[in-house]
Amino acid sequence: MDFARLQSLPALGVGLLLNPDTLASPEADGAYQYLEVIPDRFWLDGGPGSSARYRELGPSVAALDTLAERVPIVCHSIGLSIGSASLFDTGHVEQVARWQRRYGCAWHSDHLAFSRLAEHGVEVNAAITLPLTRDEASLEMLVERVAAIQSHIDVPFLLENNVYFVIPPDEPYGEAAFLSELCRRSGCGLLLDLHNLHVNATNHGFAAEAVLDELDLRHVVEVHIAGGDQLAGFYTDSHAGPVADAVWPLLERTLRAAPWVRGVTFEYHESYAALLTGGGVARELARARTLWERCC
Amino acid sequence: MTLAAYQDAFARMVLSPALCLRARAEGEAAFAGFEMDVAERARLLHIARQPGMRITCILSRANRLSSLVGALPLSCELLKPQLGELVDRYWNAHPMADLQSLPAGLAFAQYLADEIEAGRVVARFALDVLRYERAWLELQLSTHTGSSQPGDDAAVRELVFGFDPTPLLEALGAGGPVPAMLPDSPTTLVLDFRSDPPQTRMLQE
Repeated sequence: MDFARLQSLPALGVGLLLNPDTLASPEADGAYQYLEVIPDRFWLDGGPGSSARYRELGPSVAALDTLAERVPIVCHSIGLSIGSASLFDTGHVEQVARWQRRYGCAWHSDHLAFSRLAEHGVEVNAAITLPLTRDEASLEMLVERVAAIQSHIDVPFLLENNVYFVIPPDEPYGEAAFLSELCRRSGCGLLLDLHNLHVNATNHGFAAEAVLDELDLRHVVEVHIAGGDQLAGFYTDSHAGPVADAVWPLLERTLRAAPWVRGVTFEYHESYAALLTGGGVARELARARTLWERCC
Repeated sequence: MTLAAYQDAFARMVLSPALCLRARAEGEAAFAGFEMDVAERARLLHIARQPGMRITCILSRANRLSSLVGALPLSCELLKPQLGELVDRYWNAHPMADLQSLPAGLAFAQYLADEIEAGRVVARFALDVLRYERAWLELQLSTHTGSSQPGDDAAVRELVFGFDPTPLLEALGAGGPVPAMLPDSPTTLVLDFRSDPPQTRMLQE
């Protein structure tokens, strides 16, 4: 990782993941300093090989254009599936690179997982991000792919630590060691999702703080905070309403120790908007901003 | 490339809990069709036996289902008693590559229409409700992707019913049962996407 490059990134502050409820809730206006968008939700993708592959959703893009005149935009895509051994979608990379240039995003991110598979020319989506095995084979594949992505995207590329409900056995790397090694070898940055870390710690019985202590926090560019809820005996990353209580001390710890964090993004899912009525979104953002100003 | 086979088998366990249950019952023999090495087979079997597989399967199913229900809420409400079995058949025949509501909804609508017309899905008014929602999705697709503009006549669709569908659509929208009786008067509904938000109105004779 070129740390000087991270140092030169603008410190955006506290942001909000854009969702349809955000657009309908102007009460959060002014409480965020940037917006994060999932670009894949702004287009229809005909799939690799299709002619005129990406059809943008005009009204949604027009609304985003208006927002982009007021606040910085950062893109966090969901469609890359960087860990899929059977496919690497360079068309998707080119499309997100176009969007990065279009909105002048300071960095671009996606998820460290796999969900898409191609078998005999037919693509299937697992409809959930699945964990990679933390081993040399995964590292080699990811390093090569990050290099390809960085050759298309002019800004730092970040990968987000994933939620996992199962753990492949006999992994040579633990979570912190794998993430640090991936960043070191590939030059990608880290989007550290503290709620994902909390979800994994809760379900698998380890201390999230221990992961933070072991992780090379110099790679962290952006942090996600969110809430979740219980389902079928597990704690999930459903982005249900306010930030989980346990995430706040993790945020403070991270902001104090990570030297080049450039943004903290609050994520909530629009289906849980009722849990944030009466100024709830602005309240979560304000609390994050207090920590940001105290620690950064 | 065995890593690809391992991931394929992993994803298929998530998409089809039957494979996961077979792995728990039969061990590595359940993965006979996948060209994995010994370590990958053992790894996958270990994963299949973890309690977290259940929630992984539940979330995958919920994510796929929410795309379809989000696109075709009234049809899914009408078919609720048979929806679970229906989507299993659908996903077995057509594994989803695209989870976006518009294309996923249109593909599922086509499947439903074929099943209804073939008599494999039987539910009173199913074809009428599906026709209404499909027209809505097609208009949404054309106006959102610029193939027609709000203001174009192409952004308007007229649907003719042999009865007044309003009480039916309202009941399904409220999550209620299909009304026992519907007004027996031929009705034309107009879906109008020239305005924002789009409107549905009855064509006056």
